[in-house]
Amino acid sequence: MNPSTFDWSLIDWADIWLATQDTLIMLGVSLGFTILLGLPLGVLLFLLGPRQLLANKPAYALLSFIVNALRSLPFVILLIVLIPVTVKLVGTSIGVAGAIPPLVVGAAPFFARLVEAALREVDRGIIEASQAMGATLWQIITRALLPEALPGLLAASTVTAVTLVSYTAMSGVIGGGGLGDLAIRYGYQRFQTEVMVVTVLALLILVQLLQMAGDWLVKRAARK
Amino acid sequence: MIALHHLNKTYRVDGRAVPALRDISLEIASGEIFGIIGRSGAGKSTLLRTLNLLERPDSGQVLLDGQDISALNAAALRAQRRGIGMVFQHFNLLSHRSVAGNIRFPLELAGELSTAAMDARVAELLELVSLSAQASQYPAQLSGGQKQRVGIARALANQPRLLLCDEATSALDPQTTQSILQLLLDINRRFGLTIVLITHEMAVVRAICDRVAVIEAGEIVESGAVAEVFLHPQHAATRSMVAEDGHAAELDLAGKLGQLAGTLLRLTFVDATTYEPVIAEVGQQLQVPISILQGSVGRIKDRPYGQLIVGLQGDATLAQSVFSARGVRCEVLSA
Repeated sequence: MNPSTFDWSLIDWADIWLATQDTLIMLGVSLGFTILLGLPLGVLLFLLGPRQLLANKPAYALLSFIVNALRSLPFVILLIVLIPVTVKLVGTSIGVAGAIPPLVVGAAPFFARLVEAALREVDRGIIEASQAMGATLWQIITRALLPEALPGLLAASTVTAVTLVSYTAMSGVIGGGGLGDLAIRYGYQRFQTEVMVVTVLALLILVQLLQMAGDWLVKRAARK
Repeated sequence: MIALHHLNKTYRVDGRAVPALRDISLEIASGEIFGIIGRSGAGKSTLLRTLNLLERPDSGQVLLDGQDISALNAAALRAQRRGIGMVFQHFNLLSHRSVAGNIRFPLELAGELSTAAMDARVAELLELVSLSAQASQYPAQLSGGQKQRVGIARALANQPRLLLCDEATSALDPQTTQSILQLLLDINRRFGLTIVLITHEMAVVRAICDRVAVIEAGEIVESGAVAEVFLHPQHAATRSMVAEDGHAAELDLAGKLGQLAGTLLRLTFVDATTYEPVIAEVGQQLQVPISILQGSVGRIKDRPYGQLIVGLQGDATLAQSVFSARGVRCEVLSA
């Protein structure tokens, strides 16, 4: 296809803007819930792990299995499998609202694993020193572990946000709305390549901005 | 202050039982600097960690001021731990907190002081470890010695009665080691703080400890006043560590023994006798020539000592009694 033959007048910029807003809302809300659920889950995974503060082999194995099971489902399948749950939670399985539960369920286990890995990077000596100072488990988590792992946690959030952008695009399959939905309905199903090009560019810019913001935050948080 | 009764601890490594502590009993007095020396893997780190129960012994008692801390519940144990400072080989500072923030950390955990009182305490501690100028720097910007000073200030924040030092100078160069040891000694004297330190270096024990226990394969093989253990090591493990240290007179004349006429004696002087002309006087008194073959003179903490190996032509038994009468310990090494 020759770009010079594109007819840019075919593009409804208001539609593009609306879809961009939808994507941003889906991304923001699902990222918020992903962190809200994934962070405690990741901390729990870390604490239950071998030689950690709450080391518990069966509990770790079970939690680990659940997380792996959720992560092994392709997101497109998860979208469909979760429809009954989504309807219960938000009253609809379509649109921006309908896309958020599967986005969170898809991304939270992924984020939890990244959190677990980031916490493992924290020097064990710091946990030991906190214990020796008489810290409670809660104090160790909130005042030592999480602040020490902050650069890693911010990097994990960035990776998760980028992953969520690609998930939001897939949610177009169930009429999730947003840029991906637009790309599929207009760009693919109606052969409007111009729309495809514009949405792809918009997604590209979004991912670039997220990564840059994330890198900047990580750099600011790192004291090493 | 601290009494350990029959501590035992065994680790399971790949299904095998590896004993880390074997029937350890120790008494540590209030206000003293007690050294535990041993090679890596001897169990000294495990032993130190039983004092604040970072390691729980399988059996035995850990008594602090008569109280069995292994019987405490979680909250009481945390309160107990706040009264025990700990300094680590690799400092274990929080990288996201400044120097002042690190020292403030245990105060925040305890949550007993107002913000103003915490600030005042932090300023006081910064002064104590000479880091007032670095208060707002981060650990990554500090030298090893400075990091350990932060570690020490942090350990002292809650005004502990006991300070545990886990190889506190092992990651530092010799000069910095000396300055950290001096700081520990200074703290011990100013606040009457009891210090228990573990190390693999005899030099550390010699510099600041009052008493020492030698640990080998999970067992205390020897313990006592540093001068006694250092100058008269009984166990093979102690002897080899003393020999490596190179500051005690060890018989190293194997090839030359045949050429030596007379008796070999080891003379040990401690405190005031070190400064007296004992050898010359005894030589004159007995009218026998004494030759100094090997020896060292130095200090163990504040106590001057000398240990010499001398060759004596004449009556060894008489010489021995004359030396003993002058307060010099005299051992016959060979006749």
